[in-house]
Amino acid sequence: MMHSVFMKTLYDLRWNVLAFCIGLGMLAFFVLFIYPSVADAQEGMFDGLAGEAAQAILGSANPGTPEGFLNVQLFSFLPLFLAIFLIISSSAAIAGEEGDKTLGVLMARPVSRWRVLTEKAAAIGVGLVVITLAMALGAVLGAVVAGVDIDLVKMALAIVAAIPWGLFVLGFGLFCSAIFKSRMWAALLATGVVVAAYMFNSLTEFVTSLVTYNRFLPMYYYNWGDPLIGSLNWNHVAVLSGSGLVFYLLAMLVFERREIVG
Amino acid sequence: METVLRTHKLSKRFGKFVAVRDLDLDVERGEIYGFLGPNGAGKSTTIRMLLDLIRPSSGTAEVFGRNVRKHGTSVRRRIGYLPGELALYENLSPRQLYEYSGSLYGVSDMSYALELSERLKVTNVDAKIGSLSQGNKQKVGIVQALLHKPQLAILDEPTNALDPLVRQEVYRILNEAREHGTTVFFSSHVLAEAERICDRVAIIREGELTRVGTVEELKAISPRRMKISFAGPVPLDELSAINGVSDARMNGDPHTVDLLVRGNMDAIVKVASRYNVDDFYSEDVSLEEIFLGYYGESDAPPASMSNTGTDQPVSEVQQLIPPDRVLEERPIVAVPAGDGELRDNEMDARR
Repeated sequence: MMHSVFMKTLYDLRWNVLAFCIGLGMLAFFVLFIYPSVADAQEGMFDGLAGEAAQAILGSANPGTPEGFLNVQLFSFLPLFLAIFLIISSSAAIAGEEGDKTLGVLMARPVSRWRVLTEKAAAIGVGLVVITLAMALGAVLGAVVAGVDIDLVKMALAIVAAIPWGLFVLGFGLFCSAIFKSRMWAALLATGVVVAAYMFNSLTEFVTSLVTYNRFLPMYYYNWGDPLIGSLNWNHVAVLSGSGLVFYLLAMLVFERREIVG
Repeated sequence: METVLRTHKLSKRFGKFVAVRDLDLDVERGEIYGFLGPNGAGKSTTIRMLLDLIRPSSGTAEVFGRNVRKHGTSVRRRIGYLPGELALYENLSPRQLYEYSGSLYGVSDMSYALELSERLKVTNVDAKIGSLSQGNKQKVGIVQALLHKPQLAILDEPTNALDPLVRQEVYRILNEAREHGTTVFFSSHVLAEAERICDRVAIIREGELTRVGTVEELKAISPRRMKISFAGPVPLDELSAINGVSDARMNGDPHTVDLLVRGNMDAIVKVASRYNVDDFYSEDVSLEEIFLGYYGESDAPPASMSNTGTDQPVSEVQQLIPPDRVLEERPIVAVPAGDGELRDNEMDARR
């Protein structure tokens, strides 16, 4: 079964992926499942909020609709949930193996560093796709069971549209993992950047003077469930995926050049 | 003979700290080459440069005639490696590890790996490695290094944590590998095993190669230990005055003298023959004593590895190594201590 670094990484990730699939799949299911029972209360919940605040929380969706409810209850947190999985996995990829002192044994074998990094990235990417698909499935099931009036295909696509954001975090996480020889430091840097970007992005929605800086943040390009009410912004997809690719290439450059101590 | 492994002025610095300096090694095909030195001497750093895990500050390393920096992947295809600080994937079983490791070498037939496991008595190849004892992990490490029948086996302290019986089996396996053309380059601070299986040994001190030769050559230039029991009083003054006797002492028994002797024994035999001799015992010094000769008291290996069978102080043994009778001698240069990034055990040993 384990005939490549890719397969070995998938094997290592299997419990993490399963846990995130169950957890996020159930979250998506229950968000949709409970919507009918809380729909009436949702109608007036955000009436008192100013325009920017409402925009920040609800996105461009109508708060009284399932789409608006999903934005608040699911899409607002989805990037953080996915980031947790990706930071755990990517920090383990290089820095984690080095900290465990197994990287030296691996790299003493006839595999190039770029191949190891690429196969590990591919395996984590597969994990990301599986988790988003599980979430989409959970959401669809929740909507069907609860009889929520929503476009199921669009909803599923809106969830899967978080993948470009995941690719960015994956690339950045691998870059941190390649820089540091300690998993803790790699995870700390990646987490710090993601959380700071998330918080700053939220802040810019309330403080108009900061809005101009928004476009420098990765969160700006996250789609926030927009495909559910409109169409996917392919420019944003390209920016996030491209940034992820750039960080992945930087990770490869750093990993190729640096020494392996563990 | 074909040179399998060659380094030329290989050096590695970590900041101001010099871990390896101007190392020149030539290892020929089919030999078992012992790379000896205490912890912190630079053995593991050298090995990691040979595998392109860390990069030389200067100098070159070639394996099978190819620069390990430029042709790392193709060179490593022919190498089996056991690290000194062994860490294996604890969530895998030995069988899974063999399959994974073998796949990276393009080996799918696990019969040799399982045969080695059986010979080394790996308790359970289907249990998680994390649940195995340190000795069993070491056995698994040896198997994963040899399962693809490498042309060059680089083994860093291979018999760590192994019991004596398993060590014997490891020696047999290495000898068999050599008979099939495998070159074995292994580091050790257990000199008895180097003495037992090595064709040649190199002694490294503070990152510098100090001696290279066959075990026999090294022993030939080294002193012998003698014990003579007399029926009457020991002629200690006469024996001490003999040229070549550097230490004569009586250890409690008034009729017995212990000597450390180099050179011709004739004068000693002639002096002893004038007295009534009850017993006469002579033995070569062990490789460990030779090894100790290259280290001062301050950086001598720890007592746990010292098994010389003699109570000679290190400084006295050291005096017995004639500086003009060396095989391949390189100058010993003081290595400045300093900051730098290095594996913990090496840094600790240097400090």
